[in-house]
Parts: sequence; structure tokens; C-alpha cells
Amino acid sequence: MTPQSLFPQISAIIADVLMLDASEIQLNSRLIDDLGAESIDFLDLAFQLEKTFNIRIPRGQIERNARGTLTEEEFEKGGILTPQGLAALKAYLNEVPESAFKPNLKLSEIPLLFTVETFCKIVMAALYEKQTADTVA
Amino acid sequence: MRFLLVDHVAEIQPGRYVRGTKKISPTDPLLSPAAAHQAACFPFSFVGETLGQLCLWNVMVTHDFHLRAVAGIVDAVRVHRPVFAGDTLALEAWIDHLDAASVVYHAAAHVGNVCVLDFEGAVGPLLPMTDFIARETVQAQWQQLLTPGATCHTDRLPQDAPPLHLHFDRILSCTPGQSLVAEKFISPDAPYFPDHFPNRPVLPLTVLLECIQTLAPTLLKTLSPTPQRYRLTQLSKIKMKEFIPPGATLTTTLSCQAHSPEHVLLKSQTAYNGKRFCTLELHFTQEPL
Repeated sequence: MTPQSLFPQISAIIADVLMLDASEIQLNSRLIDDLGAESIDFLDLAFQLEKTFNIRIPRGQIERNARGTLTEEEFEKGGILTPQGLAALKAYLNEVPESAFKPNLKLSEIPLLFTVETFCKIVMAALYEKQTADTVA
Repeated sequence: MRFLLVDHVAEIQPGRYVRGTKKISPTDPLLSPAAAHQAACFPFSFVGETLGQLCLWNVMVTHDFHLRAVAGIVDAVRVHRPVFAGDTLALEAWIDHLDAASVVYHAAAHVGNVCVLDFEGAVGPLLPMTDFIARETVQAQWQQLLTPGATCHTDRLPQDAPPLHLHFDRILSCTPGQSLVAEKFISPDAPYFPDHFPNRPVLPLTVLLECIQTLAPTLLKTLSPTPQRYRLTQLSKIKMKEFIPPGATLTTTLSCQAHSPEHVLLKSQTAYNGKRFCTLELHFTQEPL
């Protein structure tokens, strides 16, 4: 399973959520700047992905995944990513061009970085987690 | 007119489940006028509003009245039968997920043993309570809800009360069988604004849904050369993206997406200041005249 293999299904869901034509959506399309997504659209998208793939996407999951082993204090201070936090985010969102990661990036600005591929990766991770949990059970 | 539609909360499991009631009084100002050979109906949009408010109480209690949910998304609303004056709605809401950012829930309203309306996939963002209403005010409202018979939020509209105007003001254009565009001015005097909300009056989504529902027959009757009767069975993919203030002028485009002898699907898109902020689909079945 790769982001590319999930792209057709996820881009169709994004197109439905954002009321766009699927042909307007590319793997590297940014949800907010390129596709016009708003905060309610992220809620809707998470709900639709959860329903379609029978997975859970906890809110704030991307930030938690990016933080990895860093503590909250190591990741951000006063709502602004530390240099360590920015490096961790960059490593996690490796599908996003380097130029998008500005110094002193605010936590609230992280969603501006999200691309369609970001959500393909979230679904992949959630499916893997579900598969692992089902196997253990 | 109070826009607090739940009369009584009988059971609450914070963060999980809530049950309550609403009696439809013959003087309820939300009743639609009686048509020939039919009793006055309580619009289904406001049955949905009542269920939404019921779940909202659970959310507010769970978050100690610091947060409240606002309208966002509803995946599907199924309409089963009308609600009439004299009916008592038995209301239930189940919370599927709740955190500090949003609530996901589903709900159902019954009259006796008959489900009159249910919906699923409702998602509401949570926002600070004080943006909309003083915390102490809503806490006092909650205490009233817990006492059977203490509340009857259905007040008769005073003689000089502004009308509800649950319809669009004018049709701007119509392409028979395909689409129409209508305009509506949201009067600052509308009687639901004082409760929705004291600190920030905004148009209730369900008022807009009711207006769109009353607009739909204008397009439906252009779909066939002979008179037909259509029954609304479902609303789906409801999404509300903006808060609409008093004094706004809204434009709704209603278009026919599918039309067969068994099923008609209309799509509605509503814009404010040129920006689309509310969309939904309306499903109708054709019934014998």
C-alpha cells in the first residue's frame, strides 16, 4: 500500500467534501491554499475517511505523529515550533517541499502544510494500526 | 419566542447519551399553518433542531459549560412521518465521539413507538461558550430542563412579534426542470436571534433548511408536465461553513441532480457575499395524488 495506490479513493472523498471535480486534485495539492479547505472541511474529511476505511483518526494525530519522541516542550514553545520541532515536522511531512517550512512556524499554521498525500499517509498509518490490532486480537 | 426547543431532559450520561422530551403545543409558534384536510405540522427541520439541542446539552454538561457545539455537518437526516400539534417527541442522542474540538453523534425522535426522524453522522465543532452566551445563563437553563414540567419553551408569539418568514423572498431565475435561484433577506428582527445567541446572533442552520425545504416544491413542479406529489424522505451531506449574521442577504441555487419515477435528488447551495457556505442534498419520492 502506498499513497499513490490510495490516491484515487482519497481524492474522490476530498473532491466530495470540498465540492470539487476530482480532476482538480493532485497528490501534492495543498488542502487549504490549493483546494480551499476550511476547518469544518477537515472535520468532514476526517469523518468521511473514518467511515470509508473503518478507521479512527484522532484529532491532532498529525501533530502527535510529527512530534514522535519529542516532549511537548521540545516540540513547541508558546505555540511556535522549536527548531527541533520544525525538524521533526519536516521529517514527518516529507512529502511537503522544504521551502514550505518557515522558521518560527506556529502550531496553528501546520494545517497549511497538509497535502492530499498527507492524508493518504494518515489513512495508511491508521489501516496498519488497525491491521496490527486485529492480528493481536 | 424562545428558541430552546427541548422541554425536559430525563436522563443524561455525560459524553455518551441523553434522553428528553418535547411536547408540541397547539400554540407552538414554529407550527406550520394547517393546510386543507391536514393538521398543523411541526416542521421536520425543527425536530432536527430539537435533537441537536438535546445532544448539545450533553456536550455542554460534559465540558462544564465552557464549550458549546455549533452546526457543522450532518451526513443524513431521514424523515419518516410528520409531527403534529399534540404530539410528544421522545428524543434520544448518542455521542459517538467527543473531545475538546468536536462532537460526533447520531439521534432519533419518536412519537409513541414510531420513529418520526433520525439522523446520523452529525459533526459539530466546539467553541467557547462565552462567545455566544454567558455561562451562568446557560447553567440556569440547564437546571430548568432537569425539572419535569418546569419549562415550556413554547411561548405564543405576541401579536406584534415579527413573523418567522420560513421562506425565500423572491425567485431570481428559474430554468424549468433544471434549477432555480432564490434570494432571502435575514431580518435582524427575526424572533430566533435573541436565543441564538445573546452574545452573537447567528442564523440557525435549521431555519435555513426549513426555508430551502419550502422552496423545493417550486422546482419540483417544473419537473413534470402533469401535477405530481413529492414527499421529502431524506436530507444528506448537509454542511454549514459560516456564521450568518442578521441583515444578511442569502442566495440559494437549487438544482435537479437526478429524476426518475421513484426518486428525485435536488442539490442546494447557498451563498452569502458571493461565498458558498451551506450545501445539502434533498431526496424525494413521488407519491400518488
